[in-house]
Amino acid sequence: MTWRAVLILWCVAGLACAAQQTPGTFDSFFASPAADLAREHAPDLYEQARTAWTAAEGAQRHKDGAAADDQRTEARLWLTAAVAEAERVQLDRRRAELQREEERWAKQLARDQQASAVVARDISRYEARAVALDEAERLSALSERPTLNDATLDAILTRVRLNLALAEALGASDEQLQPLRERAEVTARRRPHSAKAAEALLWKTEALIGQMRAQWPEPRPGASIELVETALATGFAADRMGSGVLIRSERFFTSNGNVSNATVKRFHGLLAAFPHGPVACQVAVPELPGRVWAHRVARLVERLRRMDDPGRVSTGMVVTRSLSAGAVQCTFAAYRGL
Amino acid sequence: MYAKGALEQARRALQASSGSLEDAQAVSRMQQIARAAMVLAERQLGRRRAQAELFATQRRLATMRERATAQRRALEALMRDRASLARGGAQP
Repeated sequence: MTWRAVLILWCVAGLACAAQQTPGTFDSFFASPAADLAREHAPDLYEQARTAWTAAEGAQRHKDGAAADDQRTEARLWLTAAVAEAERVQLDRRRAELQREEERWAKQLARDQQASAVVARDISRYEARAVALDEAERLSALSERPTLNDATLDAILTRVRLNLALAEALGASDEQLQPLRERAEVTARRRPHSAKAAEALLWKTEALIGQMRAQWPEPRPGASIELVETALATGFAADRMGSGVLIRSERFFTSNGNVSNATVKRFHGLLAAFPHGPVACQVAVPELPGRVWAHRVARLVERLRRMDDPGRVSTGMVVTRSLSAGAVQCTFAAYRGL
Repeated sequence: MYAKGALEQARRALQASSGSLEDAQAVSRMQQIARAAMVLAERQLGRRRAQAELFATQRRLATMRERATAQRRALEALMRDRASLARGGAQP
């Protein structure tokens, strides 16, 4: 583009000088790259120039020098106008090309902005999930360890504060909240090494939320999502199903077959926090279960019933290969479709 | 003024045509020169406008290209971060 513009300008300057200084010939005037472009892009103006030039040649033949000079001047003006027009056409074409390129870049930008938003959301979800898994891991291991480290204590205190805020939002009174807030402050200040006090505080706050929820005749909209989130945060697997919210864990039994106190405590906490409706549990057992599994399940049933409403949880055995032996899954039926 | 030369030439031609009223052919030639000079001025202005629009488009294109390139780099960095998180085992 640039070389062409320079060439055109050079030619225009050349044309103007040639026309003004000497009469010249048709070829010296019209046979140039600029004139060719003018003929291509501004044929009407080019034709005007040719007509004027032809008239100038006629006047020259008739020895009318003044008329010949005037008509050459006119021809020069028409041709210069034609060249200017040709250059304008080319500039416009170049601008259209650049606009198309600009549109391509704009589309790429829009696509990349959209993709960046999606990836950023993914990253947030990854990070939130990682934090939740970390917290769940800490909370789920709470009762299995006699002592707790700083990170676990921080996770518990964060959860306690969130629970207290939720309980307040659900209508808990200052009389109910204040003692728990004070205990949380004391725990944060003293930072005890024993897990017991912190764990008890956590379950108290879960129970308070449960008390608030129990005042409702049935679970509120969104309760199933809260149940899934709380279950995940306390180390259970959880899914919303057509039949209700399904909670799963393979940690109800320890490796030597005893009932896990830690898991039962966490499950009782979950039951207290989500007080509506019956809960149906199934313990996965191997094919042809013997007396060993019957005893284990009986011990679990007995432990699960140690709560305010012992009839709320029903427990049975199921022979399945889809779950490992000892895995327990419980359906909170009242939290269906919420 | 961009087309000053052409407009000046048109003015001179019109002035000359009004000064030689006894020669009708000369008047006609001067008027033709004035008309051609006016058309030249008009086309020069058109070219000037096209040039200005081209420069503006070039500037916009450069800005857009810079923004798109920066966004592409940001997207690539985000994708690397996500791949790194995925390799770390966290599931969205």
